Amino acid sequence: MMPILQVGPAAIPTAALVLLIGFWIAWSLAERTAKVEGVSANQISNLILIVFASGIIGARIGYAVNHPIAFSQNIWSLFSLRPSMLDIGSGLLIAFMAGVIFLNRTRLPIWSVLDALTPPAGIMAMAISLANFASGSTYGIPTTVPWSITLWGADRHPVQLYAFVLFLVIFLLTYPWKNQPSLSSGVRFCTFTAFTSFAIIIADTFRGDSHLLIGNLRTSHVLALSMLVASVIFLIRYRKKENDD
Amino acid sequence: MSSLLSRLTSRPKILGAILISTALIWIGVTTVLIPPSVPGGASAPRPGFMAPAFELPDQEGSIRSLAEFRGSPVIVNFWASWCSPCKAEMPALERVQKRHPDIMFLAVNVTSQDDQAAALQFLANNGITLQVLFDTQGLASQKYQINGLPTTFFLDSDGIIQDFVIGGPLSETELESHLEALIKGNER
Repeated sequence: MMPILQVGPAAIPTAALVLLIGFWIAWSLAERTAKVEGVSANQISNLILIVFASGIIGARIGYAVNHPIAFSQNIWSLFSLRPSMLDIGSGLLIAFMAGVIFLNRTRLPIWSVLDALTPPAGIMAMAISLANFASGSTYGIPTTVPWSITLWGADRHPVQLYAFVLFLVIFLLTYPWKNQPSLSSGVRFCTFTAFTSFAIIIADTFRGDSHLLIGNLRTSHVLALSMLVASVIFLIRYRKKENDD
Repeated sequence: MSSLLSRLTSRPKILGAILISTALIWIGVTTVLIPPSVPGGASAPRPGFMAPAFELPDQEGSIRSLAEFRGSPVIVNFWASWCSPCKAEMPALERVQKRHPDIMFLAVNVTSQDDQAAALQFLANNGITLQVLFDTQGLASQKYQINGLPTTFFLDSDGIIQDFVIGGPLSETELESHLEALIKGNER
């Protein structure tokens, strides 16, 4: 774990740096994969920019709505550059809505766009795992396995690295390699979401900070299982449609 | 690798059945066999854990313990006089403390990496009346794994860390929003 990278007098949060590098690689990759899927690289760039900006704005508005008293005292704080005043849930919701509106307006082929965004999403999943490892977030449960890491006063499962390895395998599996037989639109994305949901179910089992739904049932397991089922249904439909065609 | 994806998805029903059934069995078995750990009484500088205990001298040289303040929410702010963001956020901490006298604000000076005289000078020049403690040996900073300044921890009335912020300067709005969450949690 290395939460801060000291470069001379500057203390750089390692997690933020890893996420920034991940985002940059993902964006560059998206422009390349867009061509493979027959989508305009410019449009993909615009989509990423709009989704990202909407996500940030939505996250700040969501945070302000959740803390009305604090913001009513100083409305200008809405424009503060502090990253800790963001509500991730609101940000994701607004980013999703902005993405849907953009795709509707530009009439881009949705499934081809999602296929083009699959490898970048894989890069971001890996970057988030590494960022969590650097900051010590999403720590594992205590264990005696030989590969445990000492974190927060106990030997723990390196759950962030489990997630990283699983996401790396999924990335390699779903990357549009040269000479790969062509796939119908949506198959790459649905396979990615199915395997990613499965990976989350496996990795989150060893998390020490899981949110529980009922008893010992983890919320992330229920959400990931729902995502897995939805992905499989879409995958079956698309393969069936492909066979019918 | 290039044709593996195509082969895997050529029979989506079989792939789906394997993934979903394995996931269901895994969830069922691990929910029983690997219950999520709850930090409980363990202490670590992380949300959900007990705040690591410390005993430090104040401006008068009296030893103050974190445990003394159990029963009310506590803000622990690590700072140093050479740290510009720390100094910039100190007036905001002071104003917010005045609005919330029921919440304890502890400004822990990382004296092991600072000049105590310079820290006292800064406090006097700026009329800071916060409870300041001096971490002369660096033990508290070590326990809280302070890697960057300022770092602020938000503790509930049971001494459990609810949130923390590395870096600054914290604005009044940011402080108030964290306090809102602390007070709401306290009321529950």
